[in-house]
Amino acid sequence: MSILINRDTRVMTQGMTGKTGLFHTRNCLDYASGKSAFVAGVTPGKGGQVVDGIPVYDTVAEAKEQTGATVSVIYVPPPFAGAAIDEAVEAKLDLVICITEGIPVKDMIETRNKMAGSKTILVGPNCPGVITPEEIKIGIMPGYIHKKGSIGVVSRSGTLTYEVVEQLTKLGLGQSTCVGIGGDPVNGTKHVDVIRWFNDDPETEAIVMCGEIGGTDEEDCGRWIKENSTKPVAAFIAGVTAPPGKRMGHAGAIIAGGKGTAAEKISVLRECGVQVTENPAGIGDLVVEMLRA
Amino acid sequence: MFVHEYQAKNLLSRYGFSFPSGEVAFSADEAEVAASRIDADYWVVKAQILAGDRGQFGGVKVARTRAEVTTLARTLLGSRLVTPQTGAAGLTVKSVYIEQGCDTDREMYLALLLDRYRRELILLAAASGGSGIETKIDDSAQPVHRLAVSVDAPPDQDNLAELARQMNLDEFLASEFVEMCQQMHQALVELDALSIELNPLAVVGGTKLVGLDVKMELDDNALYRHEQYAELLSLNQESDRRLRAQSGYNYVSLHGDIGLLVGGAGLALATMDLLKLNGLEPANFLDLPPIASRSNVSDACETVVQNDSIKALFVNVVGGGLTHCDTVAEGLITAHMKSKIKKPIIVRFAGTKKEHGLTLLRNSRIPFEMANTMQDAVELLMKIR
Repeated sequence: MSILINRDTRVMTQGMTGKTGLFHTRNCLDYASGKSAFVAGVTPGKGGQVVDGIPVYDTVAEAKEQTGATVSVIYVPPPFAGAAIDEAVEAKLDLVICITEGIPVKDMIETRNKMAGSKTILVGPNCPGVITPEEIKIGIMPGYIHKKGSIGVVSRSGTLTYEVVEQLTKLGLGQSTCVGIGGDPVNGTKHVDVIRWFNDDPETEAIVMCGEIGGTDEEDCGRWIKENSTKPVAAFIAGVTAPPGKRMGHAGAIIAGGKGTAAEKISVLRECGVQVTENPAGIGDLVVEMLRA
Repeated sequence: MFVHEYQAKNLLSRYGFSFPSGEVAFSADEAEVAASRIDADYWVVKAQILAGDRGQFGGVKVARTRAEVTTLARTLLGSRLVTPQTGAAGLTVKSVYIEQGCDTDREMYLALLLDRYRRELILLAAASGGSGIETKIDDSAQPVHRLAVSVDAPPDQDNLAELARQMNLDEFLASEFVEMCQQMHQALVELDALSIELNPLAVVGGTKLVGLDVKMELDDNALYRHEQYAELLSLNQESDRRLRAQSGYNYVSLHGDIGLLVGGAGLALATMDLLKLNGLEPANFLDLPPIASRSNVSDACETVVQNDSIKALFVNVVGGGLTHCDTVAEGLITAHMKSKIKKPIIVRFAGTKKEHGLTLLRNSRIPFEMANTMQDAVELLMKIR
């Protein structure tokens, strides 16, 4: 098992005919069971085309009805990405993974408001996607660094996820599923959601969580772990040394008024029984130690 | 991006906010003209920098005469202002805002901003304002009142009236306050702002609410739907090399001696942490854009090494998305050929097109030093130092 996606998942690409969408869809097709997983593309006005053997539809609803796809991945440019998520939610898909970076905050708040009461899970935006190694990759991560196994990985940052995965794989530790939840302040799935799913997944033995300065999601996650988690959790919080008040890339990664500092997050996580390393090069080693204990 | 006080006041004035009359000046001559046009008993000359705490650190001066306005403007313009929010190097004052001096009965605090935790808006109001309000948020002696507000609809009249009551405003001021909160909501939504902060918000002449200072942050992601922001961006960009930011880089200048060129914000933060953990200090921090072309990388590399205090450059890239190690390698080689970088360059590649990238670097005959992991790279950096 794994979480969210596996080799039986059927996926449509929203923004399939754009440069980015096409490039990444091709890479995903080449990964493990990709050829049977990616069954449809959606680009309004381009319905009826066939790209790389994949039929393109005008709407998400049509793509779902014709192909049975229940998951979508979005590469639509920022001005239209909010509406693309809305469309996937209205079509009652199970999972929507939004890769697009740069969606205005107001659009995302409106989209989240429209999602109230919906069962659709949103991962992202501004995220690398989700991968269940050696089964299916939905997103922009380098597939080859992953290896099938039992470590669940969740992170806000794409490149930091790759870093952790590389460390794990080099140490012989495969991954059950890796989820990039994205660096935007207003997003869908949070750390705590993913940790809960990993906790329920029999194939996941241990969890790695990478957080960042800003917000309070990591702290909330720590409290949930303390109360509920039956699996060991290792964590790294990026930005211990970031100067306060400076925006360090992700819209989420900003410290304001003393809240959301790495020190605060680390102390809460430790109190909650999470193993925290302050050495980003030592995350893999920490997991090895944790599993030995 | 944050905008200057005068820019925020310009943007907000058409929503009905009341501000003291004022004009921006980029030279002492302009300041003189501005003062001659502003009718007042006294004037305030305010340094326009994109950082707070200006008042306490010499950036806001009172002039009793028009001649004094010119003198103060001359002193402030071109000077470097250091406040706790600017970093040790401070920021150069490129413009001053000349404003009508205004006696206040009372000073309050009012802000509308994105609540990242609840993913909605929140209105914050306090009966007394002034700098350092951020630190008072948890102070029960001086409560900061909070009101959750939706993006989709203006804040509820009754809730606002209750808020006004908590702020101890009389009936007349209360209705003005309610109206101001609604204007603030409309402005924030229409301008795609992430925060609007009136601090202090003053009661003037017993009957009027006047915003003495404004801090406003606009959503960078929404620039495309506001043509007028391009001009603000170009005016403000020199601070912290916004020019680079505009072309897709996120550049932050720091105080150490290792230049950092990293793909992705999270890894960039982590790389900085790793350096510091090993006693190394980054001189700067440049996060490559998500779609990095050869010329992006080459420009980025030149930006990072421009800093004279740099002893070495560390390039840490885990290829993914549309950032591939081979493109980064081509960019590094281009930068090296263009500007003959004398400083050691440590490169750590992983992820997409790692091998091809490393091959390109090796074949270039430029003495790049290759590291297999971040830890190896740090050890190389420690030797150089």
